[in-house]
Amino acid sequence: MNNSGEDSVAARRSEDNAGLVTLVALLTADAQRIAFPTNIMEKVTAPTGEFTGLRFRLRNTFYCAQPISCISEISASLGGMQFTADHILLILRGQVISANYAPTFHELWWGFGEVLEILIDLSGSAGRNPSTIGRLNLELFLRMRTSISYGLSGDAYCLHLKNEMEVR
Amino acid sequence: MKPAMSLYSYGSDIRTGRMTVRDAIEHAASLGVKAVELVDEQHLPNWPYTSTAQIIDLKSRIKSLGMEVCCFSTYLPDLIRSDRRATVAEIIEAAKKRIVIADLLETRIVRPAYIGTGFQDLAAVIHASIPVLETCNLIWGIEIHAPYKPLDFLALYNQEFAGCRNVKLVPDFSCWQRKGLPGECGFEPVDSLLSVVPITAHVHAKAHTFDATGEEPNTPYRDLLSVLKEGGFKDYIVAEYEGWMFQDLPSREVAATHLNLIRRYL
Repeated sequence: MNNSGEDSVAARRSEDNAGLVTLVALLTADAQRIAFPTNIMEKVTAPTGEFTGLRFRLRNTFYCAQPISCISEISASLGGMQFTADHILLILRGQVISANYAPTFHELWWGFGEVLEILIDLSGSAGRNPSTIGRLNLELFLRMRTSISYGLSGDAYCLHLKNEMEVR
Repeated sequence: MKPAMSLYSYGSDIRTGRMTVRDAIEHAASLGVKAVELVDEQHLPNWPYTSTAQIIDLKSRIKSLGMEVCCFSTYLPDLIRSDRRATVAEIIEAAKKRIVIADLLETRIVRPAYIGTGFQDLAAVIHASIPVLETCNLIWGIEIHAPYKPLDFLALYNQEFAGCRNVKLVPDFSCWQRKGLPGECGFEPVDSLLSVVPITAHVHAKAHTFDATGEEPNTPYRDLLSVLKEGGFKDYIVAEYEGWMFQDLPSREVAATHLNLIRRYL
């Protein structure tokens, strides 16, 4: 094979960049539409009864299954309070992963439309406890890699999901 | 030319749990098609760890409804690790695994989506897979999908695989869309389809929306099907609706509309 095919591939990716930017915007809008199967945020307590965090459900919004390693960055805002990956756990089929290590989990796949749980760990965060009753505004920031290159910058796109959650 | 249904078309309802894959299979059967297409990362349970028993069970359900699997669409993701791109050797192993799954499904065509760093990677993976394709009597369908050009893939085929009975092309109508999903509009002249018809094993009739008359306003279905007929294409053309990514419509209704459009111009 000569280089003409390679050149064509590169050229098509470049020419189509504007279209890809718009495609990402549409994917982001789609994600906002289906990401939250419920608006329930559950209080999590330790066996001792101590309040340890809040958890909610998040659907895989991509058009197919993807490995957890595609979640390259995640952070959250709850009622205006910021939480980094240090305080976020992902729970997929009972498997608990610190969000910091998600990029290394390339053998654990998040199925098409599958729902995982996100737990905001509030244990030991005295003074950083958002309201645990009533409603909370949730903002979730995700940087998602794609497992195949679609020509996106860094082979990734960002999601900024928002939802008003009812805390129970 | 035989109409069939890609279960991809039911994406809106499957991913939100309103339908199961089995529901989609049963609905496709109710529309009178004789074949369905499956997508690994959407339709095989517990992917990529689907068991042999699960594959056989799925195939059996399809066959029990008088249908066959006309194509197994699969991905060869090379970016699943965050620390490096998969090597070509790793992709070859993944390709062989998928070919064996396609064989279990008793399909004739497997469509692995892969470009790698360019056509050289793609050609290397296919060449290495040919012995397994021969053993399983399967065809590797290289998908021609926007934003790439049909003639690029024709050149690749002629240079690397001319005369190989185990490698053919799978044109996707995205190449001939005039507008529609951004990033998926090929704007190709309809005539460019004719040049690849002789080596086409399967067709993806992509659609993103339908108007009140059941036409896909972004895609010249009548002209494209006319070209397929002119070229003597006799294999499966599958309805592959993708508008579910952006609009939540009832999948069953959309699938029926799409199939009617294809049948209108057969």
